[in-house]
Amino acid sequence: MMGLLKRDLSLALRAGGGFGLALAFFLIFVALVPFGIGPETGRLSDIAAGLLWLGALLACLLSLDRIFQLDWEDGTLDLIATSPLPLEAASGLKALAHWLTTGLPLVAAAPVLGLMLNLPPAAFPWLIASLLAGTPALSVIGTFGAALTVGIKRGGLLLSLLVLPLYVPTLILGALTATRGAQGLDATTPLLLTAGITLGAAAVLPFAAAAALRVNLR
Amino acid sequence: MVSIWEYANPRRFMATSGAVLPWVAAIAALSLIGGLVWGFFFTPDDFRQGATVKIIYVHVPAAIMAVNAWLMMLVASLIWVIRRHHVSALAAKAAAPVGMIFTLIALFTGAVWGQPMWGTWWEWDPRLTSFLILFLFYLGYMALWEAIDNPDQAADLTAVLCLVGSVFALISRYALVFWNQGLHQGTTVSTVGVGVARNEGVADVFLYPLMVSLAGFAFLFLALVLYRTRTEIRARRVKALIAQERMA
Amino acid sequence: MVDLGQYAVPVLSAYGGTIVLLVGLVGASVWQARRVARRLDAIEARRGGSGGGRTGGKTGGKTGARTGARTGDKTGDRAARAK
Repeated sequence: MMGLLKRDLSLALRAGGGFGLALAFFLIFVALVPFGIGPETGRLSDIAAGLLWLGALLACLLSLDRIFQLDWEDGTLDLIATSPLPLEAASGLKALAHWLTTGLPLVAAAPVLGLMLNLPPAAFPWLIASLLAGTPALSVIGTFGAALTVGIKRGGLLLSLLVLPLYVPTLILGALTATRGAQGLDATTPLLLTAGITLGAAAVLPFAAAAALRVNLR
Repeated sequence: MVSIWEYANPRRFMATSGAVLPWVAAIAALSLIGGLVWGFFFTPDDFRQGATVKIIYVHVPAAIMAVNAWLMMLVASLIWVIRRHHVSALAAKAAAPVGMIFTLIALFTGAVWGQPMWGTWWEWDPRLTSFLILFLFYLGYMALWEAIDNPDQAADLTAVLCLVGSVFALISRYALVFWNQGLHQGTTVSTVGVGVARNEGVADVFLYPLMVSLAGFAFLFLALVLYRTRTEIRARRVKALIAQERMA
Repeated sequence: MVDLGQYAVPVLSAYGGTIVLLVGLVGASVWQARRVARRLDAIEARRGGSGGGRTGGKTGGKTGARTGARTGDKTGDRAARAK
């Protein structure tokens, strides 16, 4: 188990592994925001929390097809499926690896980028907490989507179409946490709900992902 | 008494659906046209909303059937996953475009209804927004069917998507209500519209044509699903025969 | 005619849009059904003409009762026709 995790982590971290691309996208997205909606600091301040959530979500989305695609192409996925490790556990580990190499860096980058968007000071702890609670859900849901579409050539766009509606509850509650926190309100309830989605998704979706992988590996 | 599982046999299904379809279609046409004509021409205006209340006769049935269509797809997907009846998988595939169009009708009529009430063409209230998400789920489901060549694989993957999607659709609904409470109070298209139909103890004068129209939409759904499933069964046969020809 | 007052545009466009979408849906379903039926007839005509050489096979990804039922059916038909 640890072997698979370490392998995925090292693959992601070495050159060409895609690590850092999600971060770069996040940065570019934030940089583009003022060009799209104007640089007025007051207006940016109001919507910064939500925009950062949106940027993190999209950065996550773009890195999803890496989860299974490379292993599918070189036959490693077959090996993983026939190994003693249950496919459900392998899917969970893949999701964990994705979160460690994509989600967690985004969480670290968000406060820094928040400075660029004039995020209110009260929002910072809530933003970080909500992202910590929500990005694992994005990884797990994304892993499920990647498992569904792994066999489809150029399935990246379809993957996005399938995963984005599934991302909606996480986005709603996570962004709500950050936004309420920015307004100085207590945002514990949406934060707990966000964490609830993560826990629920992590409990159930590896099974769905494994089922999808089995179908695709037939 | 014939068990419903008899109709899992495609030939049985084709035979029975062929016999039943003209009747279902006739009832659908009669109740749909009847309900809409009744509602449009022979009902009074609402005290608050004027003539726009007439939109409930298309908006509410479409919305109800949009959700029911997804539920039917969910059940059919479960039957496929558990009992591997091809007819069931194809019925789910056949139902999706119908549900999608109903969702689109609900969205469109909801927006058009909201405009005179609100002054804007779109409001992010929980009900309209959930239908928007439902619309996206339909699109994704249909796209996945189209993207996969092998019919059994496609059936399996779309069934898993339908199951997972249903859970998330439910969660989204609650998240949206939570979200909307935080943003602004105030009447929504849904409470204004549905209020006429339900909460305020709707007068029979509105309720009866609504029921007829709902029956029309329901029978239309049934007729279209039967008709389209027959097409899907035939299409699979075409595919199988072509594959056999290539191998022979 | 019904007096819709100031709400004529919303009400009429709601009904109009609904009718257009429903007619479109039914029309598309009918068009698709006819196209598939034509293809099926064409293929079955080809096969009916060529006769034997068909395996009772389960090729083309179809399994189970349907292939069995259809194959058995067709072989029976051909046998009946051959007589």
